[in-house]
Amino acid sequence: MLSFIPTICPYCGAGCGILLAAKDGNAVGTMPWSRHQISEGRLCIKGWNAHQFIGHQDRLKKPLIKDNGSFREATWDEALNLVANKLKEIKGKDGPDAIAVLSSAKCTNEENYLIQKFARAVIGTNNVDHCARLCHASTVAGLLAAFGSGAMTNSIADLGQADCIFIIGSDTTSQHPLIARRVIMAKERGAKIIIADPKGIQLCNVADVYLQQNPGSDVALLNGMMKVIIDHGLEDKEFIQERTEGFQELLQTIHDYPLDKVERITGVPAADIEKAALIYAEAKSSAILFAMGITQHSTGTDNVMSIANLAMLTGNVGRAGSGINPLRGQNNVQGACDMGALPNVFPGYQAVTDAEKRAKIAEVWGVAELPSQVGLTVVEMINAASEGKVKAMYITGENPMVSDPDIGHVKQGLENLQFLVVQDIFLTETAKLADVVLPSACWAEKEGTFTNTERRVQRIRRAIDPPGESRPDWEIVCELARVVGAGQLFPFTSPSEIFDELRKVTPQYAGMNYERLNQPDGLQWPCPDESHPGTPILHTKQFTRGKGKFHAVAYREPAEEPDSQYPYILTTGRVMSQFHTGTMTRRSPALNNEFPEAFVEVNPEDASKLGIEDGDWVEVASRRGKIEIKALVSDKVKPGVLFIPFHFAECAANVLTNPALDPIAKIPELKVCAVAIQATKQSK
Amino acid sequence: MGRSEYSEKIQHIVSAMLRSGLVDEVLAFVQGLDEYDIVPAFIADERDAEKIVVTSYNPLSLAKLLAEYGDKDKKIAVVVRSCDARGIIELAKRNQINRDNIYMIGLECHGVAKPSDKRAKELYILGSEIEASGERTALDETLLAPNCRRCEYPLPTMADISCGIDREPMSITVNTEKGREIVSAAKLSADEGGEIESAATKERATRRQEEDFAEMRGMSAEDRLNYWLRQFDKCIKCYGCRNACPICYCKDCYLDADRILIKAGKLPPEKLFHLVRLIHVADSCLNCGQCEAACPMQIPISKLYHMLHKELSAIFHYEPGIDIAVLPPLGTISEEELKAGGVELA
Amino acid sequence: MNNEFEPKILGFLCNWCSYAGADLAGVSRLQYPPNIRVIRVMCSARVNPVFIFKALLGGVDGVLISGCHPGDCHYMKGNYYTRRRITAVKKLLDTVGIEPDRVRLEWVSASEGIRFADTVRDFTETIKKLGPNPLKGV
Repeated sequence: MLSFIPTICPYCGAGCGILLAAKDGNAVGTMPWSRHQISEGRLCIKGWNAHQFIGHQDRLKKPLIKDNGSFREATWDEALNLVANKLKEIKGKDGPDAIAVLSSAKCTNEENYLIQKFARAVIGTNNVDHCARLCHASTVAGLLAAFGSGAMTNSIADLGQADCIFIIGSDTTSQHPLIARRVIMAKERGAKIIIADPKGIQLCNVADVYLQQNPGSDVALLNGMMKVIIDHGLEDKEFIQERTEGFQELLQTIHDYPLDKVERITGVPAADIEKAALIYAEAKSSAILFAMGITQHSTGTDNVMSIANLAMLTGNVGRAGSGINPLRGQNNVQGACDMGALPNVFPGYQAVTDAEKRAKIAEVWGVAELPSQVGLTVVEMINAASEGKVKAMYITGENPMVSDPDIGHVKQGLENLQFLVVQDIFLTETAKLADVVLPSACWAEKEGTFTNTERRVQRIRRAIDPPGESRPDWEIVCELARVVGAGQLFPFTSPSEIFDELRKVTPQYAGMNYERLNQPDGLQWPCPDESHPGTPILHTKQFTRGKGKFHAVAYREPAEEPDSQYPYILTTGRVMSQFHTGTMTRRSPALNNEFPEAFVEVNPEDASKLGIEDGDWVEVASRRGKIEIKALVSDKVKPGVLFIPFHFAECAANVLTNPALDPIAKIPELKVCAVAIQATKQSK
Repeated sequence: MGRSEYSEKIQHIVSAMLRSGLVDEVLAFVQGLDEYDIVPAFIADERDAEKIVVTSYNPLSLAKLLAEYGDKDKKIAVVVRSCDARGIIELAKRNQINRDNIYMIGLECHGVAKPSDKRAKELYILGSEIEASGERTALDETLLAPNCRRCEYPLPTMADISCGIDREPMSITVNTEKGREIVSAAKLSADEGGEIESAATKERATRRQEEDFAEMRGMSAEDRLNYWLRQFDKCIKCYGCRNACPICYCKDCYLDADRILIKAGKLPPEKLFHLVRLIHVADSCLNCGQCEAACPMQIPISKLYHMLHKELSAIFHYEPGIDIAVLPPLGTISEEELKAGGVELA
Repeated sequence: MNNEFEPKILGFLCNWCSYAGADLAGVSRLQYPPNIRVIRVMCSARVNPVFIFKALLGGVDGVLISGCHPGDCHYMKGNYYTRRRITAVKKLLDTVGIEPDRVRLEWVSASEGIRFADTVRDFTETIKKLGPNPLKGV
């Protein structure tokens, strides 16, 4: 008999509620869940097909051990013992920091909590990170500095009340469709929509102003807009006076960005920049939505600080229909960050270097001490592996072989490890390189919580059993801890118990528990105590750090600019029906059929210059490597700019990308690098 | 009679049908995680019947769920409104549901509230009044889901029994032989004979249809075309309209990306996407409103489909979902047509 | 501008009657405007509404469907279904804002060469008056 299980979609950070249809132990379909706050009875194509990959034959069902270059099945005992012994050996010989752990933005809060606890309390290293490093690390760094809190300030529901929505660096209909719905609803109420994106997106159909800025020129654009606002006297003087600091320094920098200079840098006509700035400043409530187009740069933190500057300048923080709204990509990347799966903070963003906080957490965990030095970030881990400084890695639910920049280097780094253990639901490109593969359960096969982009902690519910011998990640980590001899630190028999511990060390989650979370709205953090109703809008009376801080930010060029050898700018991104490295979506027919293969988007002018027609095979090369890929002639990109979606391992955009890092956030510049393109001999 | 008493009566009928073995399962809406959460459920244990709620809320098409997920070899009862009942009959015509295995318990329904209206679950819509917390007030029509305003079938006479609200005790009319079986299993008294919709109901529905469609009909062709092109430009190809529609049952759908008719990976999808669905569904559109409720981009799909359907319905004299023996019009020919020689239909 | 507009018209002609009728018009040297491009189908009922939509969305200015007279269909009842179907298609086009007169259904038998030429002439004139298809370039 069929049952409908209310749970949360495993794809994007919108965190839509869905009803999963389960029959005879199989996930057979999904239906919209009308009660849910965010999805309100609607789903996107990914949500409608979130069940398709669950029963795929490729699901890992048994632990695997690599013998003489190929995998053989093993028992859990053998696999976990091998992992435990290898980790102990390497720790003994080279110290705890020779081991690095990647946690998973797809896993639950409970699992992220356990994984970082394992890294810190058992292995003894702060070398724990996850893919937020590749997406919103600059958001967390930038907003932490500007506001004291790195998260989305408003809620998805109140976006519909905005009088102006400024979308910069986000293809919202494609990546966060149910958030794009709020944009449509605002528009149909009369709101104005401003879009800034190097690539034309579908939402441009409803835009009042569309700015097509050059990739990486966002600081100049934002500074230019701020100068227009100040020149017209439209800044919110009262807000600036009472709630911010650092305005004078900002003013000095802004003066350097007159419209003609900004037009030169960004490639956007001055009149359009002015129009956009005035619309944003004159609207009663203006909200900013942003995503990878802002964050994935060597100036990512600067970009985010500029956005914070713009919002504070106009008093657009702390009210419904306004605010700064980073659209988090993964279903639980917000939660993974909240749970401290980061090298510089414990759960709740408490610095590892803070002796007091460290001691308090050590006490709750029952250990004498915890590592005090900031650990390595994702790209740094790969570099360290390549140099032999990191000798072992434990990777859960992440696929750096497709998602990280400069894949050639990633492969070399991972292959250089003495020991690699990968825990996942499918044999990903990364798992193929592992010494041990541990099969885990997916979203439909376990209890737990996800935290969406608007800080909403929501329960997921188990609908079916995991296939074969695969187990929920939290069970695997607990079992591994037991085998290692640290079982007393992981005495959990259910995710609910894990949650009860994690909220002791995570102030923002302190007031939540499974009972309170067992209703369709979940709870938005901060939720400091059990009577607190949760927090829909941040910084309403004051910022988390007290006063909001303006940061005077100057425009810096991207790390690698086009030159005679590599004359084109490559920018990377996503498509509507594939998700990230495609592990799940390429095994979902309804989703994979929409975009079954990779393509490079080329402007018609460039195409004709290069003698390339739509559908021709071309070679795209950068200093890091080259790929052969099909061309798509499209006017959505400017001449001189190419776009490749990064989901396709066989034509991986990240073979080409530049691992240059933002100095503060350590996020790689996935959005800009220099490439060359030519027709291959296969073209007509 | 209030909403909670109505719910209890339905629960009683359902548990009796399960207890007596008349049916193996019942498909109905039940209370979910909180009082505002109404979700579908298949019930096999009579003790679960008490979870069933009757509300002015219709989040999903039960006809669609029945066809897609119901066990084909089980006897299943469904607690239906007219839209669900008519959906079941249309799917039965298309051999997607075996009518012999289905028992329909019909609920009188004067409309449900808009899909995202949270208040909706607190009140009950009865004709020209609403009941909230035991009190009756006049109905504000803006409360209604747009398609419900236009509905001609408050009384599900096409179900096996129709349960009339706003009468003490709840009135039950038996419409079919199966209806007699239901009434006998539940040991209730019932009236016989199919009650037909009053002329007043039909007239009111027609008036509201004309109001709703007036703006569109009054536009010039050019304006109308631009309006729909602009609406369809918002489409993100989620397939929600198709997935939610009871008439759309094809496992192998024209619109699928691997069918090459609609170019894969193009957003917004080419306009052919919408025209294909429209021609496939319009002759039998039930005005259930699920398409519009499922659209994330706020496209007024139900209005378009219902408007076209009313035109086709008048030409083909076809009322979907009423008589299971009357097949959809584009696949049938009438006796008179066999004699007519022109290019136009009468 | 309109007198320079040369419409592109697509014609679906059934094999047994209308295509033969068109053939007869040709053999008889009957003049009719060259705007029509003909596709032969076995029966007018072969014409899927999708063909008509694709043609119009592709920029074709008019679509003619021609079959046997009712009662004479080689497959007995095909043209009855065609009649219902084209009625529905035209109503759909009207509802969406495309002129329904851009689609025409006619019955032309194998002996009606003159009727075929007259139909094409008349339809071409109608389309010229309607002007270019508003869906061009959409």
